[in-house]
Amino acid sequence: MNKKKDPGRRNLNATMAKMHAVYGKRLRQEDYSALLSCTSVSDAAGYLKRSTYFSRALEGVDTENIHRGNLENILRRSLMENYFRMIGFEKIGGDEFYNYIIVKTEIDEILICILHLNAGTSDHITTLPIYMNKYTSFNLMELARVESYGELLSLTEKTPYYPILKEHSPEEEGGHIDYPAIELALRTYYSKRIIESLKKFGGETEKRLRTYIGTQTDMINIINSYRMKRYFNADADEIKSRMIPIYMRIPEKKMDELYSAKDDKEFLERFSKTYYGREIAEKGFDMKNPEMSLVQFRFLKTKRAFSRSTSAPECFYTFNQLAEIEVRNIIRIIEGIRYSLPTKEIAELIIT
Amino acid sequence: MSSIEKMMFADIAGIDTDLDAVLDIISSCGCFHMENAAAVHVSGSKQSAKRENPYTASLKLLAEIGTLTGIKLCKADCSDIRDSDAEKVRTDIRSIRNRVQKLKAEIKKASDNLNAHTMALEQVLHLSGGEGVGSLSVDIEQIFACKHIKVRFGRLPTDSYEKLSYYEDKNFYFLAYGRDKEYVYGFCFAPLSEAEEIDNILESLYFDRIRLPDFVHGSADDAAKSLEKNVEEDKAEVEKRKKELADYIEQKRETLNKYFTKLKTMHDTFELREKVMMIRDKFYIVGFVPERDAERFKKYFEDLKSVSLVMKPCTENGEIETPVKLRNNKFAEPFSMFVDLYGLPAYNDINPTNFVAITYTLLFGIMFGDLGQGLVISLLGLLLWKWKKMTLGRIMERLGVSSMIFGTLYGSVFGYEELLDPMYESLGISFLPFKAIHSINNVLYSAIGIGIFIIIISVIVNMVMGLKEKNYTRALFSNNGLAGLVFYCSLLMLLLGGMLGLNVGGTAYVLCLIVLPLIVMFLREPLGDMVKGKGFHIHESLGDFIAANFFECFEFLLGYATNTLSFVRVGGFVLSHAGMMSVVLALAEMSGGMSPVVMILGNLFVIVLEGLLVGIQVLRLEFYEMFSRYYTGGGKAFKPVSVNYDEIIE
Repeated sequence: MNKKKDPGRRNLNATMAKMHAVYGKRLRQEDYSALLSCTSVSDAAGYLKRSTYFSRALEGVDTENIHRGNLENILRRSLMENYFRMIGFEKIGGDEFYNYIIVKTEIDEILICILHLNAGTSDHITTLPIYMNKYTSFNLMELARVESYGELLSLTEKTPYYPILKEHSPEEEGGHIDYPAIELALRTYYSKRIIESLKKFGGETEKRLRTYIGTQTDMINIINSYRMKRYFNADADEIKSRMIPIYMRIPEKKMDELYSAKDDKEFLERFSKTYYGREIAEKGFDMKNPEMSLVQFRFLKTKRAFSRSTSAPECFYTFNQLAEIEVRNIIRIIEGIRYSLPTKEIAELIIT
Repeated sequence: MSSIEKMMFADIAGIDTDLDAVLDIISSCGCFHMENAAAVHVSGSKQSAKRENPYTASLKLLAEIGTLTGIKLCKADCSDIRDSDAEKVRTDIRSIRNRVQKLKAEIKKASDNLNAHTMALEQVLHLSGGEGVGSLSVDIEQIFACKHIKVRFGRLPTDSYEKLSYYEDKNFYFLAYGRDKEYVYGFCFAPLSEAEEIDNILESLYFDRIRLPDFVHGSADDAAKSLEKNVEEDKAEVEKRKKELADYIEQKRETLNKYFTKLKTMHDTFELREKVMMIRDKFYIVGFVPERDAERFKKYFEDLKSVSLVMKPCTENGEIETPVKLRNNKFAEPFSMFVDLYGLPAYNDINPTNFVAITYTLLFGIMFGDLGQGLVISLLGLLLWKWKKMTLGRIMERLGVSSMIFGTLYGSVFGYEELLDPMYESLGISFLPFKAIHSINNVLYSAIGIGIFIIIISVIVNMVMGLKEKNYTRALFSNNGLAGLVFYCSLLMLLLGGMLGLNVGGTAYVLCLIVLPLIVMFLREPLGDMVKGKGFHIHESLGDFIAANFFECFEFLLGYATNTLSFVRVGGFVLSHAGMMSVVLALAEMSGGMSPVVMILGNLFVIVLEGLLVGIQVLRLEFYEMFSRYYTGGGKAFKPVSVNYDEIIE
């Protein structure tokens, strides 16, 4: 019998080679400079179509008359198409780990739906990634039609999100939904699920990916807690209640110390003594803008992890992260151009 | 003879009215490496002579003309334009730019017409059928003339089209007429009273409304025919306008090149002010001039009586690192590319180019010895140099000759190992000691011998450099110094004696020539301090010192062994060449009586693959086995001031 090999254990060198080849076509500094010098969204779309690997995604698109929102949708769709191309290359789509982007999309869309419920708006349909509908565990079109929390619960009843959503039901139907708490619960669920799915890889792959995902979570927590401290001067308990309870390089006790800093200055002072603080100082990042430095450092770690990856899961995960950052950069530039921000300001938001 | 060009330090001072004349000299002489004068002249009231460059604006206009027309401006003879003509040049460039802009606007207008008609045609063609609705035979004007129904024609992105089902309860209908990969084209019909709401929905779905121009009349087929005619006329108009611009640019090309050359020279010369220092009305310029150009350089200043030029040996200038210009003989010159790659030597260091040239050529020849293939490499190198001016081509010429010499010694021509035998027999030589296939041991032993010889030479060069710098640790006590040399040679003698059954060694030999040098290497730093008169000091704790030096000495021992054995690859490639060619010969025979096609392709394959591999391997030997013993690099390149005509404006 021709038994299909577990994708977790398969030799996926061809997929890895393909990802490296696609990564080789990434946007370079000169591409970002060219995009930044564009004066209109159609100029930027034209450049992407003419001079970058997005020409495939933009083939047939009239870049002269394109709407910003539509261009963003096309770029996001291209990200997904790339993902499915990689999945389909050696047919690894059946594996729990490799499907993490679908889980992420589902969570993102549920959260957007909740935001619309709280705001009383009904234009979720505009940004809905309808091309994902055939992969998601619930109907996205129905999600866009949801008008109450009860409808959301019944739509997701047979999905793993149901218990989380149920637990955070508003006290009365139509009442305010605790978005931050649901977001934290769903993101925590996502992180734990992905870490769980690593177990079957075992050995170095599991260890390295677990460390990578753990450090990424650490850094997300640090960035978010810094923002809460700086802009809302939140106290330790409040900050901790909003953070993903996963710790990698900084133990929980040390993180608590960070959260309990009396202000953002003390936070940064304590942070500078942590593993990440030392690493960031060593790499020479400018701590005058700590948020951007942390984001840049996170990006650097991802790039390193990708280039040093020795197994397909590592390569796959970091490759998709890099591709997502690239699309996010382009979207920032396009938004900057659309709202006539000074080039320097847009450039500062680009992660390269 | 390879060496490092001797440099003179030039200190120029004068009154600001002479500054432009001095900068002109510096920019055109081609032998002055400029440094920032602020680094040398220390004064409280100093300031840079940098001002806003008056030539930038005109160069930007030239760059704009270049972008608008797609021409690349280049250097031309501009001796008929005087400095005083600058204003006229500026005005002239502006008028050319204006004319170009006007012509471009005309092209754009014609292109816009073409686009409008093409777009309209494209849209009308979408109305001629799709999704089972058939061709639209109704007059288009009549559809839009409906009184109670609002009609929109346009396209929806395919993603948005799928989302239309979300609006099932809304009072509108989208009739799809055609689709491509990204868009679905069609009409949207909505009651007049709900038109605003439906427009909002369509907008949120990125509906592109296409306004069919007034010139579209009649049925879809009639309109298409009329538009096709318009498109043809527009294309002719665009071509006509483009030719007009091309003719104008061709007519002005020479003038533009002259203006560019003049302005670029003045612009880049003006930019040099950044490194000029002013103290009140006096300017100061410092830099380096090769000693051999010093007299010529001085002559340029003879007419400038108020300018003082002081030339002194660069050793008297302590503040600025002296730049390095390598001086090489004709044979070694192209090999300086490899030295550049590793890093230039410091000014007081040696120029290793000669050593690299000789060892690289010899090793390549030994590893890739073939009379015929060497000739091909030489000829290929000659072509690359003549046609593409590639320095690598000049290196290949030399390597090819070396390959031919060794190929003759091996008796190898395009893989035929016996082709030269009759010639040798006629000379009375019946046995070639290096015929690779028949004398594998000879080849491998010789390779190690060459390695030993090269390592010893490298250590001696390092000792000489160490003594020159008065760095006794490096010259006498290090692993690449006298101690290392004694240790290495004695150990080799001992091994050789053992292999040949000679009685070399004994306790005194081992103690004095092997153990003692090892102890000296172990104590190299304190011994170096002692020779300098600083006493025998160990700077860290005794434990740390012993641990660190124990492992370093262990690494030295390993290094001697691995570096020597590393040269086995020289022999390995001699054998692999013979092996690969025997495969080619076998293939040629198999394809029916020495097929010339297989022989040619096989030889080309071996030349490219093995040539590349051997080239890289020899470079590796140069950098890792030789340079690491005596060479540090890190020098600053001599860059004479010049005008960059490759870019209009940086």
